[in-house]
Amino acid sequence: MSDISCIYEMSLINENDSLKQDILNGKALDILLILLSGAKTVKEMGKELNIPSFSVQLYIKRLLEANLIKITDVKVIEGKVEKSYDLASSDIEILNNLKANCKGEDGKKNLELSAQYMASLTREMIRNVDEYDDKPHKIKAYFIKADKEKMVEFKNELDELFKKYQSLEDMDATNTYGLISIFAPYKIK
Amino acid sequence: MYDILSVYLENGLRVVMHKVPHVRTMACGIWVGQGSKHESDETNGLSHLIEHLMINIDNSNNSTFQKLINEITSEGIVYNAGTTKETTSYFFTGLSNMLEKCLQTLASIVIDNKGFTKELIENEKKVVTQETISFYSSFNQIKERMSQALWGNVGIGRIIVGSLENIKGAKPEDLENIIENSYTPGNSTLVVVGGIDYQKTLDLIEEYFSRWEDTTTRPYKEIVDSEPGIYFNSGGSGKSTAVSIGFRCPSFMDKERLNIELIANMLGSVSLESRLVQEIRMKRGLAYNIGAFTSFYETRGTLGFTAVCENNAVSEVVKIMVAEFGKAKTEGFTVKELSRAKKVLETRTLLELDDISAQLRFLGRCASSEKLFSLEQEIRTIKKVSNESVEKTLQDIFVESNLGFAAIGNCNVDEVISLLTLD
Repeated sequence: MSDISCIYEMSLINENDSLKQDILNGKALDILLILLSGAKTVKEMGKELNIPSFSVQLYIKRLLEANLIKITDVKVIEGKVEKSYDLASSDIEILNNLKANCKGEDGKKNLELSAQYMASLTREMIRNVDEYDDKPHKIKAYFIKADKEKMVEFKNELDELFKKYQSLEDMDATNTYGLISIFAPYKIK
Repeated sequence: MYDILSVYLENGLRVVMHKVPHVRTMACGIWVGQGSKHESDETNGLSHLIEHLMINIDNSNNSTFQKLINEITSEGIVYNAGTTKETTSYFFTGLSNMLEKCLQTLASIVIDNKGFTKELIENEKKVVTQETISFYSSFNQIKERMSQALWGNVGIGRIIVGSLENIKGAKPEDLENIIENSYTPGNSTLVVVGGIDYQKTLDLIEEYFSRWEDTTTRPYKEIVDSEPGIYFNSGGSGKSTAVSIGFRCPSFMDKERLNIELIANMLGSVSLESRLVQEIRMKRGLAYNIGAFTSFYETRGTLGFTAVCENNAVSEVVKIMVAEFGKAKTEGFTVKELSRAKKVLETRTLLELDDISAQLRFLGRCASSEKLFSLEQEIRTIKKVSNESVEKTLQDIFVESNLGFAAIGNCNVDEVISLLTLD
């Protein structure tokens, strides 16, 4: 077989920067969302997403490299190494309110299904703006250069605003609204 | 009629002898239970370095060995050594009248080599480093990478040649520690094959190996990753990519092993008749190098298929491979295909029967798995394989939960893994 440049690294995934896909490409976002309900093994994630383990492992490696997830537990069960993964930061709290309101097996399943389709929910909400333009809505994205301390302050204000939004829930109301907040550092190339 | 004799010396050394009538040649070797699966992240590669040092004729710390190896090679004895994931072996082949000297030399290798001079170690580290660089600079490493993907970078997933850093940084005490804890009679098997007399051979073995002190072998508990995974390295800016699709399989001694060997042959042997060669090379011209490999261990095994193709053809090649696995799983193989594959395997085994060195390696391989199995028995078992039993094996092996993937080169790995669907 042909000669290639020497590859002596033992790591299982080694990608050139030029080949690296968007970090949330493929099933990576689904994995992040699945982990919202707690730490999980590769097997558990594969089962929930209905994808094989090798596929989960590619995205896990990328998410680990991006410090979005971490290994929380390593167990050896009957000679097999089982690692559990969890979100690296507790500040990723999408759909936590839904989680709190979901009780029992069905609730848990609904929560996970909802979480998996968070990305498509976002797209759906943007489409709904046009269809229901008589109802209140706001879609904004703004990128700024700012001081870290001021951003910490703003994050706290955002938390308060989110709490206020959550407190407005009225189970008898007929309309459902969604608020998705993403506030994070952004590197402009 | 054939016979295999297995006995244990008082110090725990297992001795396996197989007399081949009417031959004037013999082969003898010793298998020590020390391979890459027994290593850690810090020692990966050192079993192989030790193998080089143990059989180094410049080892001035062991003048007995130097004298003996000089004598036997002058008489035409061919010697070799090998490191696998599970064992390190040293073996000699030649005329039967040289058996005593060969046994004496083997004893000196495993009993007297407790340490090496710094100079010898430093020089051999350079040699092993060159061998290792050469291995990691070739697409041939795809099989080892497949194993790594299937089992993780632990146990049998560890690469035999190991880490360049470990080799370069190995200290004499690191090597001595491995030798002291694994080169023990209880962790070794001595095999003698050929024109031998059982009692005389056993007497000689007792004479030279009884002095081997029965010390404790390091404990070992095999671990692997819970799930098969993926290996991907986009290193290199070449135009080709090496891909491999592999499956977790049962062990060397499992009854399905020969079925798996036959499946490997029918689907991916390098001969132009195999299905993957037909579909990928002959019909579409997508790859030149296509192959299949099997690796069987004490408790597990690997079945892998490989191809080297242009970067932009990877997805198509993988799609064809997956389609062929699916087709084999649902339709099985024809009677003609199986009959041909059995003949190929039978011929290969019969050729090994005529090769005393191959017989030794096979017996050593079996004996170090704590089982005895001869090439003669192997031929009987091949003949009994049926289409039904192969089909059952296909159902057991070709499932996504057994599947791993490895690639070296520039390909769209996200796209490729989405194509790997079997169930």
